[in-house]
Amino acid sequence: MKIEYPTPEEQHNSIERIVKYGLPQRSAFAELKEMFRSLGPRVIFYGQGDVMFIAAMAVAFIAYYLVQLAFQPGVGKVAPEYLYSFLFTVSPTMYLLLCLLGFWKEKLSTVYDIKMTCKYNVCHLAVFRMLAFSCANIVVNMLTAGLCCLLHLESDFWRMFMVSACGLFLLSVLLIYSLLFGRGIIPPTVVSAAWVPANLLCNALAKGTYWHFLRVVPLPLHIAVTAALACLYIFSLKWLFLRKKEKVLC
Amino acid sequence: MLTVQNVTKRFGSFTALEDINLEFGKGVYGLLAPNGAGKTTLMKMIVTLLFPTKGRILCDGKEILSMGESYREKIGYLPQKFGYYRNDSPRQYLRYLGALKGLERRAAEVRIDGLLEKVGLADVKDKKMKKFSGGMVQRVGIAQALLGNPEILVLDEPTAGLDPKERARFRNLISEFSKDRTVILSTHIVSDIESVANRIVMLKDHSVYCDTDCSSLCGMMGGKVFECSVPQKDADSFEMSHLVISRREETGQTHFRFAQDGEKGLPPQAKPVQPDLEDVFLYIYRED
Repeated sequence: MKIEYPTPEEQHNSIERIVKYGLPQRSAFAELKEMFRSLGPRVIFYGQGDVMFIAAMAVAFIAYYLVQLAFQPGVGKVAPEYLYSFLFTVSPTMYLLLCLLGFWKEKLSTVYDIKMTCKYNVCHLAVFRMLAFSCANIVVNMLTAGLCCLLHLESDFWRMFMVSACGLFLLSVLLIYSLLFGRGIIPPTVVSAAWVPANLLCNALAKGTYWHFLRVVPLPLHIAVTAALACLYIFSLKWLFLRKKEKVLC
Repeated sequence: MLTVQNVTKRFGSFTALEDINLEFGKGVYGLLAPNGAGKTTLMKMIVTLLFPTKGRILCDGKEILSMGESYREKIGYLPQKFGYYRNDSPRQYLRYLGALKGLERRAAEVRIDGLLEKVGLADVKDKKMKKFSGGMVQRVGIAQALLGNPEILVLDEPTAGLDPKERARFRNLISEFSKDRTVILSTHIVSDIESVANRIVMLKDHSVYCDTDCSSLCGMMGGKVFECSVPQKDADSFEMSHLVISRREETGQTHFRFAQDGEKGLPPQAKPVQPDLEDVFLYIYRED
């Protein structure tokens, strides 16, 4: 009896199928975890010291401004509307500076080409850093809200925290979408540069709606919006991690 | 086996490469072409820094863009403009890149020491690179390309800035390394390719002009390269009327090496000589 031997192509297809279904598929976050275990923080944040210093200075300046507001002589209590719009606008400052300066540093670095051909390339590092910086920014937002309470600028800690977290995730989503759908780092730079003027414009033109959203909308709705933005951000990060694109960040 | 299949690369309306078909097996491949011919673009596509506009590049039958990190683990790359961190020592820099290449820390240490020894930088391995000469920096670049023990090594102008002794060391290193691997290198120093490459790929008018070995390529020029001496007063008119490859002044005479199709108009004192790769290069790109 003659048994047909599979052709090399059939053998190859069978092997591919077995590997595809037989081996556990790792998620993007499992990959990120593995990357952190393999590289460690020193390699992931290598050369980011100056960027972190600039971001820390900006945060210190915001804290100093809030203290100044609280102790301004001869001026009454700061209007809550002003405080909330200020928090919403400046809350992503640290994240924005860390990400944007980091992108530009990578773009201008002569090591970019070599890093892009490594197992863990610039995109992987950028995604991990963005995730870490957003977590750090949440902590800073929490501390800022706490500082405002301590200085008696406002007493509603959770609303202040949610407003600032909402600002952070809104800008994060805009930043990541500009990276995903734009070419190079000019689109995220434009988005970042437009953030403060856009908020000032909303404040001037649609004062009622803008302040209503920040100050009057029920807290659970704020939480829901922020959570939705956070989920969108996480999924977009995963997309960026897995995306194959020419000239990322360049 | 690396296969470049019908690859075209366009930047807007400019076509850098048109319908390139190449196969790279084991051995050293020299990429030879004048500036702007698309060598760096081709190399950048091979290392996934650029994507083809049309066509595809396959590694062992799989498209490299879909392979992701499993392909990047196989490659080592030295770009034309090698970048480094000025305040790092070669050891620190290679440790960093070793981590990004996914090398296990202890294995990387052993490999780094071995490579720095091979490129002649063992005695300065802990010195900051800002004090290095261009040749020393280039040697760090060669070491980083070899760091992951890659199956496919892509070197863009690796001998730029190296002195003759360093170039000889580099050629030996590449010969030793290429035994069971694919090495693709481009350089303007034709003699480097001549002595180390098993095959030579020439690009012309954004396409592959030839893909052959060095002796066959030089054979194409057989009977077309001549040498002769002419009185110095006639040298300029001779140069105007012939495709001169080299010119050397001697006492009262000017010695020419030139290429010519056929013997029509050949000076009686001209003697045919064995063509080398430089003759071929200058002859093929005479209009560029």
